[in-house]
Amino acid sequence: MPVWHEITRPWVEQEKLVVLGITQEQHPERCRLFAQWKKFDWPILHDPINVLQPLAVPILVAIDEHGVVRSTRPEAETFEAEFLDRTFSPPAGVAEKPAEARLPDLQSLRREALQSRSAVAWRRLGDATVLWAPTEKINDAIDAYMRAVRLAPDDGDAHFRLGVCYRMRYESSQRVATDFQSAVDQWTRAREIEPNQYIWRRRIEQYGPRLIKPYPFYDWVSEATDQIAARGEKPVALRVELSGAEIAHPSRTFVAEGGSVKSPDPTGRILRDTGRLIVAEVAVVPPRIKPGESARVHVTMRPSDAETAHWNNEAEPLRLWIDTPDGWQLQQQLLTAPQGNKPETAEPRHFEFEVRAAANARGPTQLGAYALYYICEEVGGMCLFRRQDIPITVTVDE
Amino acid sequence: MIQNASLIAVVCGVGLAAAIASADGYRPQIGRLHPDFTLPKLADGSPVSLSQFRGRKVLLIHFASW
Repeated sequence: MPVWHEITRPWVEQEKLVVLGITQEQHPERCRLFAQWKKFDWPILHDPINVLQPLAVPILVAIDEHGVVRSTRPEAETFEAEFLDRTFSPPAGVAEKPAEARLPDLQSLRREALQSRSAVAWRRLGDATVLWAPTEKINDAIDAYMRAVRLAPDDGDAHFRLGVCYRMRYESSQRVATDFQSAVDQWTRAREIEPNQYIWRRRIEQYGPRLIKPYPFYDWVSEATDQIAARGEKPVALRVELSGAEIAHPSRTFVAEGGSVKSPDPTGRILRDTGRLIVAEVAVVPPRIKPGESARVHVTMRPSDAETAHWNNEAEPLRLWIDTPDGWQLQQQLLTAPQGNKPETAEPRHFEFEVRAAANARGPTQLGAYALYYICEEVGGMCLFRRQDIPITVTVDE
Repeated sequence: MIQNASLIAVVCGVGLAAAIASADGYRPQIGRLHPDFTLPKLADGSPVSLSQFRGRKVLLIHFASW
């Protein structure tokens, strides 16, 4: 695609051509950073819910001055002669100046959905809501898609878009602890319905284990940021931090780190925090695997807002211990999170690890995981050492 | 993205945000009109429609950064 950017630049400058990009990613600022890095100066539209329904990218479509498709596989060598320099005849009955585009009326779409009770109408309301009011009406979009999938359980588009909304809410201040797993579950259902939809598949792979990744996804970000800064520009800031899965390189073998480590609380005597001070969120990607396959587990530990809890950074760091049944493999059994940069901080902390199911594993399998942490009930308040048992279930299908 | 819900309440019109594709997915047909669509512009969230470029030749590039 950068090739097309270079080729088309003079034609755009001569006003012989409009280049219009459409990106299929969830996070707009990541796309903006990419465009800044590559110096794309043409308008780019954002389609996070795959509303245009391409099955994969990239796709190039040459459209003539009357809005008619002339090529879906344009060749750089012949593009000017066969497309740009030709004058095409208008098709019959097509208005040369269509009505100006207007934003959808959400109230009207809602009335239509309520009256028709049709899955398509609810999906359409969800589409309009998430595209044009993603921040303030994300719960309305989720509600609309949930109604759509209740009416049409095999509507893959609605499942995928519902997953996008769950992930959007997970990254917002309206987060519900289960949102990430719900997103992955919906994307998985969508992929089951339409296995040839690679845009949907990529959302799962983006957060999934290295064994199923086709490429790292966002390993370009650090290089882009450095190069943009070296040009004297300010790189677009990413609102959502990259997860480990999004920059990890694919692997064709499961790598378990060697060496023996011991459980830091083998007798289980450390007093428990049952989620009052730290709230644990778990997402398993993909949610179901086959025997011998691997999953990536995301664990996020958030100090409770209600309790004004803070990490105590002057003591030992947060640790996560994972036990698996016989025959299972773990990438790492003991993980440690980085400390904050002040004595007491309240940021969420993330762990990611990969696990491979035993060849004879079947059904839901519980991993024995727990976290150990030093936590203060409030800034300057009582500091405690606590353990939290974290239920992690990996489901193995036949 | 557009952050102001009131804008949506004020601007009324037909829902153009979606629905250009069939059950088979996105399959633009050579010799046929490309279905119109309206999507938010990445830079500022403003609505952009394919049809507003009528009279100009357009190269549509569907892409992702990965």
